[in-house]
Amino acid sequence: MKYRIIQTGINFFDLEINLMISNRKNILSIDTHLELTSIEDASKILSFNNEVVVLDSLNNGFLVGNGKFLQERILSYVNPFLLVYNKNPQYYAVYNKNLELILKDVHNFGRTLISSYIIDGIGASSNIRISNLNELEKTSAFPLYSLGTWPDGAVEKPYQVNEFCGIYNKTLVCTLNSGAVLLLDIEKGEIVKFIENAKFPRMLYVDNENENIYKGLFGRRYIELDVNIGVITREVIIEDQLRKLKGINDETVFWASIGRSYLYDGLFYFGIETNDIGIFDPVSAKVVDYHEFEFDKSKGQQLKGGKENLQVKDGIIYCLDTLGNLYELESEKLKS
Amino acid sequence: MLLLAGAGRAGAAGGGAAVADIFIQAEKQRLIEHSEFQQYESAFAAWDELYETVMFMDAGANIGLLIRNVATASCWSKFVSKVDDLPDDVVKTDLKVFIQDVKSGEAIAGEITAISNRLDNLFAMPQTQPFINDLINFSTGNSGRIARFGDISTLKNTITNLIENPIVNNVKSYDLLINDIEHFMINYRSVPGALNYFDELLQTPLKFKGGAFGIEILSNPPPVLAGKTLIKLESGIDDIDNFRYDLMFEDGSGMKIFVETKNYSSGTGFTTSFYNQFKAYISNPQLENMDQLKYFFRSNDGVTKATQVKKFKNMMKSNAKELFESNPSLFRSIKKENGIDFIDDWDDLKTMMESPTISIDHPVFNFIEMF
Repeated sequence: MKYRIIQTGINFFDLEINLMISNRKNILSIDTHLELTSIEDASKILSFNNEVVVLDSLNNGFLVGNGKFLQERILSYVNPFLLVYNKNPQYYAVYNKNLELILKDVHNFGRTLISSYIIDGIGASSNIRISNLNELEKTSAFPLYSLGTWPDGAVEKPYQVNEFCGIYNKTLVCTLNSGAVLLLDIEKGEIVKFIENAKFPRMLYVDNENENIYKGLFGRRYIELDVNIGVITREVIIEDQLRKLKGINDETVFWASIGRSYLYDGLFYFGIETNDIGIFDPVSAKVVDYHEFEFDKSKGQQLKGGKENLQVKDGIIYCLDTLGNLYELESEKLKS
Repeated sequence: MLLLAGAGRAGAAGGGAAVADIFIQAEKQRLIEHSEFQQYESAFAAWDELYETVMFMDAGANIGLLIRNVATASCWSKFVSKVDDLPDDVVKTDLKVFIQDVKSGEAIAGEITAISNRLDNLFAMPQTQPFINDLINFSTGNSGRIARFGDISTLKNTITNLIENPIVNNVKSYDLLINDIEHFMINYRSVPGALNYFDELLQTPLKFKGGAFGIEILSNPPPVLAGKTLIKLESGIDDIDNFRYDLMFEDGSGMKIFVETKNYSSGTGFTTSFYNQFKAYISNPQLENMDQLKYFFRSNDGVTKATQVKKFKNMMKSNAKELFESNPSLFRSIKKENGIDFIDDWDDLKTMMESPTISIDHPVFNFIEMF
């Protein structure tokens, strides 16, 4: 892949709103590098009703040119819902686009926003709780402990949700810490299907919310899961491809595996270990391109984790490392 | 009065015994005038015989030869039995110390022989041959490695010297340690990084101490690692005092588990390099859940989960913002002390680390394991 550093000193970027933060202060255009404004301790930017809101490291929001945006701190914004919290007194709340209060509670009610649903239950939680922000009376819950425990080596562990992947036709798709996939009816809070041996602990995606085929690239496998029938309908082992990429022969224990992947425009963009980026085409089940960064380990340099630090626009990959270098990678193989 | 400075301090052995002889002869001359000398005479004679027989001066700094000569001399047991006849003064006391030194030195010499025999056995095993051959080939063209394991004999000497080094404390007995080495050689030859790992542990006593803990964990995997596959070994030096060994495991679903082993004493503090290493682990983009990270501390005297949690709390409190921002999604998946709400920002992490009431069993400390 052809690559270049487009800016140094970056701590955040967002291709959709075409802005990045440099030196925790300066808000710059990604295209022109021109400075829009500067806000101390700037950590994140979001676009709300066509307004640019800059968050500091404690999630306080500032409107560019207008000072403080809200009294509360901002957790996330998934159009049209804004999820906020307050410390003293403690509460959590959801606003709509018009900043009308929809939901408020002293305790957290989840962080995952999918269409009109807010879902709680990631990590060490005993329940999955699903609230429909358009019809709050329709809240359902599923007791995770009812699944029992699973053997993690010699230790029996409770099932926990790693990710809420999406909702298809009232069915919530969840990946669990055991590698199981749980399909839940969001209205009844009942199991639609528990795929105990899916061996797929995270990174399951869907091209759009009307699709019933969820796709995942993790470890050394690509899978397709049909949510309609709750069955893995396609599975491709890509160990041989990864061995070739990493130059590991058949006699050596194979360590390389895909630890994170993101689906953009039908293609998976994935990372192996810390400093590699590849592109996988689900149609051909082939790794179509690959780039290995040569980083300075003595400085702790590595690619930053999190989907927000690896974004794709028009087939061009942008990614951030831990030293604040923002890279642009273009696949020539993909273009040809 | 200087006698033998101890069996482990070879340099003074011959000279020490010679100096001792001067004092013993002076004592003999003092007592010879007294009527009761007769009851001491055989003890002085036994010393003279031993001194002449063993030829301390000729032994020079070769403590092994000296101890062997002393302990195998026909007059040694006679000398030992006669020392109690001497009057209770400083010469008698020092000669008794000397006897103890020789006995413990004999035990060390015996252990060295046993280590030598055990290593001969290890190197003769058909199952270990492939690893040993790989290791010796790995030394080619590198003077440091050649000096450590250029051939079987050098490898044997290197391992023996490391096991006997007093810095290498808090490890298992030599026979169990060599069992762990055997297990490593037989089972992990094909794991990437195995030769580098073994090379590193042979470099210094401190590295050997750290590495011995790592291979012990591999031989006796704790429950959280049971059933998981070792897929990679990495080694690297953080700083002079803080040696790092990394083991990477994988579970059946392809999830990685990063393992750090620390053979610390209770007084070992968490240095800047320890923090930097921890931050590097936290920053790893593959680390999505605290269950994927394991710091194993050996349960040495005064080293408990509570003491290590306290040190981690201090370190994380002082660096809450930097740590949180190195992997926000990781920390935001952890619940606060109340077990209901999630950590929302770095201030929540700091508050948690400042809390005097947070349990050492809180999930945020799940990565700290005692072994």
